[in-house]
Parts: sequence; structure tokens; C-alpha cells
Amino acid sequence: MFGQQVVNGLMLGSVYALVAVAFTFTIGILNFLNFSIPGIFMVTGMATWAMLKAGVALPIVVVLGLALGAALSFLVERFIFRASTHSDHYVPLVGSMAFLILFENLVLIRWGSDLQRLELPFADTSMRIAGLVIGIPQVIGLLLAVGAVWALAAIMRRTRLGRGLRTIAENPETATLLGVRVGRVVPTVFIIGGVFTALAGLLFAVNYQQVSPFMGEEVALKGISAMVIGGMGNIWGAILGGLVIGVVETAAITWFGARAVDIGVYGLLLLILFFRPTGLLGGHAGERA
Amino acid sequence: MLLDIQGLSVRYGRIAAVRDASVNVAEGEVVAVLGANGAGKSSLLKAAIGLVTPNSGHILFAGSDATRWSTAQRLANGLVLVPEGRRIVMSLTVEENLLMGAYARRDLEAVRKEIGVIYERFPNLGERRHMLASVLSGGELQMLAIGRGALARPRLMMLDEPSLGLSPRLVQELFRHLVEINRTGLALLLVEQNTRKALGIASRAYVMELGRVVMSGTPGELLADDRLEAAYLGTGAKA
Repeated sequence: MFGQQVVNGLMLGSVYALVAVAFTFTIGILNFLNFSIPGIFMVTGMATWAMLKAGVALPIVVVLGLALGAALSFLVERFIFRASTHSDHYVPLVGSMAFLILFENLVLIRWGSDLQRLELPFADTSMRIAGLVIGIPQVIGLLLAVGAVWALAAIMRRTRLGRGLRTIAENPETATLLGVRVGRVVPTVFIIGGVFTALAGLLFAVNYQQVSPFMGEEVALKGISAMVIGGMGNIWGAILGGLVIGVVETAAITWFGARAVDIGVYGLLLLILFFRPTGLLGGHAGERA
Repeated sequence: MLLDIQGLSVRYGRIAAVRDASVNVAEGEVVAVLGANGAGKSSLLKAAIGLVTPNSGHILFAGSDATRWSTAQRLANGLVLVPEGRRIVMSLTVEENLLMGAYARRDLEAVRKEIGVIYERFPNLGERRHMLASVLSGGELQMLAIGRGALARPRLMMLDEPSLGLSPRLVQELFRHLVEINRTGLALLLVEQNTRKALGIASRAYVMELGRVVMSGTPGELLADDRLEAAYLGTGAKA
């Protein structure tokens, strides 16, 4: 029973983790809390449903979904982040919230406010390992989440782009001085964030087979909490935080009922913040991303 | 002239940091810019590298008008600034900082070789190559900053107060190293408060006061001038 809850929690947590990575990556490098992320998550989820319903093959849905997330995130960079380069920190934050609400309402106009169900041929495929029921789509989802973060960490550690981004994170002016064209590199941050968010939206739609125009809001809170629990700006922390929240959430449902879920999740958040204000993997800037 | 700054003015709001300053550096030359805090020396260098936009004047580099070039373009053409306070990226390792110096270069094999030469010259950097730069001492950070600047393969390296915060022994080593890299054909534009040391290696110098260039000449001419003596070499001047 306990093992099964952990398995289910990890699957749910991988969605939170991906959203948390998108949040924490943007914050770690640009010091920007991008509230359009849950909007992009929802649009990708809804688009996944609409495309599957229209008979588009799943691999094409995945590619188009990821491209959509990247494109929307790039749009946010152009319209909000770039325009407010010299404004106060709160200006892009509020601007990105406007994008979230815009995305939600555009989807509401197009598809209405109903919960939509996805019909998937492989939804019930699962395997049994040592008495645990493990859904194959969920396993693929978890592997994708961990793989994507591993790839991002490798880019940050080992490539020229990664060094440039870490220099921007510490001091954009120093980066400029060293020849980094900051204005051209910043969109990369948004595109990477958009791809992680879209991956989360796709996974959610496929794993839980239901989407709605409001699916971004709960995931936003859980994703931000996962980022804080893991340690701001730390992508491995975001993964850990997401998985912890997923496991706590499923465990709380099983043992204390659905009404206790948020008390469990946010109680944990408060406890961790009380005893480790920098988050589980948070430390000084040197350990970031 | 390799670098020819003509009639440059820089304003921050209502404050004029640089007023109608003209400074030039020939190929392979060492030129010093002297002056007290707030004389506009740092602003002059920041305008030269493109971090601040001048309100008037021109910056010519190797015969081209570079006034509107981006910092990356200036770097690509061989102009580099080793900034005040060194600006080493503390969350990167020593080696990653050096690689950032070569950010625009594609000839990675040559870069590796040049980094190896820097490690030979400064074994302390070599031993700590995979440690975060934050473990380095002030002197090591300055050598790292100069090495990082050199990896951009500049024709002219501008240095803003490189001796700041270093012990007399390290200042000695720093200036010895500057002479060494100048011998490889690299021109230097050196902003310094350590007047005697700077004049010791420069072939020409400018003195700035309240944003203006008030004196210029060879070290011999400037040292013979009572005004320089009074302002920068009298009591309190660092030897």
C-alpha cells in the first residue's frame, strides 16, 4: 500500500517538478517570477486534448505541443520581459500575470469552461512489478521529466551557453563585458522554460485524461511550492520538491481524505521553510542551476 | 592610432562624468590615465567598451568608427576591458571564468593551449582550476581577470584600477606581468591611482580632473610638472 502511494505520488510529482523547473530556471537566471507558466501549461493541455480529438497522431501532438509552449513563452519574452528591461522587478511579474489571464480567457472563449476528457487507446496499459501497479504512460512521463532535467543540467554545466547563462545569472553587466549578447541569450531562457512547461501540460493531459481552462492554477501553486521547497534557482531542487509534493499529496488523500491534501502539502511547505529557509537543496549562489 | 577617443562626453542624468575628453593609444603602446576618485576615468573606459553610451564624441578603433558598436562587436575587433573590482564570476570555476574570456572564439584548441600557458605562468590558478573562483585571493583574482581578458585575444587591453586592494608585493608582480604581456605586442590603456607605478611602465599619460583631461605627456614631462607633484605624488600618494 505504501509503495503504491509512493509510485502514484512520483507520477503526479513529475508534473509539478517540470513546472517547478520552468519557474526556478527563469528565476535563477533572470530573477523573474514568470506567472505566464501556468497559462502555457493549461494551453498546452487543452491543445493536446483538441488535437487528439481531431485525430492527430500522438507523436505529432507531442512535437506541436512542445513547439506551442516554446512559441508562447517567446511571445511573453517579447511583449513583457523585453519591454520592461529597465522597469522595476514587479512590472514583468504583473505583466506575466496578465498573460496568464489572457490565455485562460482565450481558451474559455474557444472551448468553454467544461472539464474535457481525453480518450487514449493506451491509457490503461500498466505493468505489475513486485505487487505494484505501474502505469506505462506514467513511467514514461517520469523518465521524460528526469531526462529533460538531466539534459538541462548538462547544458548548464558543460556548454558555452550554460556558462553564459550562469554569468548572466550572477551579473548581466559582466556577461555583456565578456561578449555575451544578453538580449539574444535571454529568449533562450524563455524557450527552455516554455518547453518544460509544455512537457508538463502534455504529461498531465495524457496521464490524467482530463483538462480544463483552469488546470493551470493549482499546478501553479504546487509548482511554485515545489521550487521553494527544493531551493530557489536550483533545478535539481525543483525536481526533488515536485516529487516530494506529489508523494505527500497522494499519501494525504489515502490516509486522511481529500480534504486534508492541501493541509498536508502547504503544512509541509511551512515546516520546511521554518527549518530550512533556503529550501532542501538551496544554498549560496554557487550551487545554483 | 589603434584607439582614438575624440571629444567624448558622458552624462548620467544631470551629472557630467566625462567632458570633452580626447585620449588615444597607438599599436603596442602603454598609456596611463591618472586622476583622483570621480575624475571620470572609469566612465571613460566604460564608454570605450560600450557599457555606457556617450552623449557626444567619437570612438575610433583601428580606423573604424566604433562609437555605435555593441560591446560584443568591440570585443570581436580586439578591444577588451578588465573592469574595476575584477568582476570575476564567483559561481563559476576558475577554468570556466577563463573560458568566458574566450566566449566569442571558436578555435577551442588554441583556447585550451592559451589557458595552459596561463596555468604555467600562475600555478595557483592551475591548481585551483576546478574550484569555484570564490576560493581565490585578491591577487589571484586579478591575475585571473587579466588572463580572462587576454583570452579574448585583444589588440588593446584596458585595465581599470588593477592594483586596487593588492599588497605592495602583489602590485610589484602585477606590473611585472603587465610589462610581460605588453612585450607580446598587446597595447595597454591603464587607469590607475598608483601614479608612480603607472608612470613607471607607460610611455604616455593623461591626467583627468572633474571629467576633463587637464594634462598629458610623457612620464618625464608629467613628473617634472609641479601640478602633478602637488596633486598625486605629494603626501598620501602610494609609492
